[in-house]
Amino acid sequence: MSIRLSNHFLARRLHSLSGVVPIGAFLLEHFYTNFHAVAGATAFNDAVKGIQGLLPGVLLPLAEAGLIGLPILFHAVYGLYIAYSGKYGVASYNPIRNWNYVLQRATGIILFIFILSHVLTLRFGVGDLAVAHNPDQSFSIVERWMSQPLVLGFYVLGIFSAAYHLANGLWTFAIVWGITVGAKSQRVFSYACAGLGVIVFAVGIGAATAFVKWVPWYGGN
Amino acid sequence: MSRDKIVLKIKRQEGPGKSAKWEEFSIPYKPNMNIISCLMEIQKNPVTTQGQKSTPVTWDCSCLEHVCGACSMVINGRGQQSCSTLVDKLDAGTITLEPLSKFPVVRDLQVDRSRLFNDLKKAKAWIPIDGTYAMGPGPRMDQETADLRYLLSTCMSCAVCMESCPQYNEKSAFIGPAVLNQVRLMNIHPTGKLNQDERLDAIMQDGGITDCGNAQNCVKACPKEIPLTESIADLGRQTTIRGLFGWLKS
Ligand code: HEM
Ligand code: HEM
Repeated sequence: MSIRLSNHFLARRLHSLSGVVPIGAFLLEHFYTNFHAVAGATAFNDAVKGIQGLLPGVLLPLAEAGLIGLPILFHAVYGLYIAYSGKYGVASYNPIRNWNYVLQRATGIILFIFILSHVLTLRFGVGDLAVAHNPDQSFSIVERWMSQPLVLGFYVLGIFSAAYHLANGLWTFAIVWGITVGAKSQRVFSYACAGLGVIVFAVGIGAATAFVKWVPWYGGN
Repeated sequence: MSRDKIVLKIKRQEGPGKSAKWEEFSIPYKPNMNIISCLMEIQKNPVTTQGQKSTPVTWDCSCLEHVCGACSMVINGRGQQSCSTLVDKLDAGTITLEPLSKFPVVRDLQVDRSRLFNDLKKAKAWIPIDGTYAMGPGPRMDQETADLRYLLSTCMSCAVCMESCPQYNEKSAFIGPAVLNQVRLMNIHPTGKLNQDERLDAIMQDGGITDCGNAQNCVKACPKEIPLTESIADLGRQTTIRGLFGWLKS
């Protein structure tokens, strides 16, 4: 029997896929780029310029919008709807998994706010210069933001949310697509995802704090 | 737990759409009581602990041996069968009884589970073999499949998995773990396989397989210990294959 895919199935599976590629892949690349700050301001500025030099002219903003912006917008808006359509506070029969379910939605909502303000400030220059148009000053722009304790705290929350959401999302992704079917394979894969989450979190925090004067790996000297 | 009397706090509702209120009843303790025998004791003399005359409590039940699934209700905050929940196994305090929260109340502890039965119909959770002549014996089934199917087939549509599921609610059309499990049960049957695509298409609609949120409460709540989450993941695989390659059949 041939098939006409229902829009609902298509939308949900696209939501699931978009979390891993391109968004999850972007996050890994993004943290890798940011981690260059540990090697110093010049290394970070060069890394940013390297990314910006990947494509010439208008192709770069087009690729940013199409390959990163649109998928995030779709995943975020549909994700908010999914989060809204759950009913929380059911008696917890499976405490760990149930908490993960709640946290996946909570971190999604945090990420929505975080990414919005993060992109407005660093990419579009609200409140300070835009990194996109001043790549030579990338390090000092980010440093000015990170020197504000509230902003730094907000980044720690954002980085935690991103690492957690990606790790737990990968775990559910493998079930959604029918990769890990058995209870044992799901348990084993949960350890792998937790490990990935810890690494992503550590790299993210390492990168963010490299802009802060009082840590030993401060990149501005 | 030893006690000299049994105190039950019951959520009462006179009819559909009416407001609910709590009433407390106290009955003498006898050993080996289940929740249903408590409710029958209250029926004899429906007077609350405050001495107010009330009405007998309404509930659903049928087989009284943990097989039919009709007598599910929320006992001490958890969906369970009132026939197999034994008073002696509960903590000594007040026992609270509420109707299942995911379905409209008919009266007191009795709910209208039409949604569940409509969803079973939607998912075509049966094997069509009716006809006008005998078709002979069906294909043989390997032992592994037979064992798995036996376990999956113990589902009694008691709706406890739906009670535990955060995705199953009035805001979403999700058909729930039990119905998905039925689809797997039918799809791995050698004769049921003949119609597997129809069932997969049915659960690839709004409210189908994609609306599972992987909170995995269902598999822990299930009174029959059916591996519901494995059934869901298995259907995830079947629908992935169908979604990716099904259109190539046209
Ligand atoms: C370690 C902390 C972080 C630092 C230092 C950082 C730094 C930056 C910088 C400098 C830009 C501007 C790039 C440019 O315009 O060329 C940027 C853009 C962006 N960041 Fe971050 N970021 C961090 C964490 C995050 C997190 C947790 C997310 C969430 C997933 C995120 C998502 C984005 C997005 C979506 C963009 C816009 C991408 C684009 O314009 O192509 N960032 N980030
Ligand atoms: C911007 C705000 C975001 C919101 C509101 C959001 C919301 C959600 C929600 C509600 C789910 C659960 C979907 C379900 O169970 O059906 C989810 C899954 C997922 N998200 Fe996000 N998310 C956001 C950003 C991100 C980001 C930045 C990433 C990448 C790091 C990401 C990666 C994932 C992944 C991999 C899944 C798993 C997909 C699945 O289970 O099939 N999300 N998101």
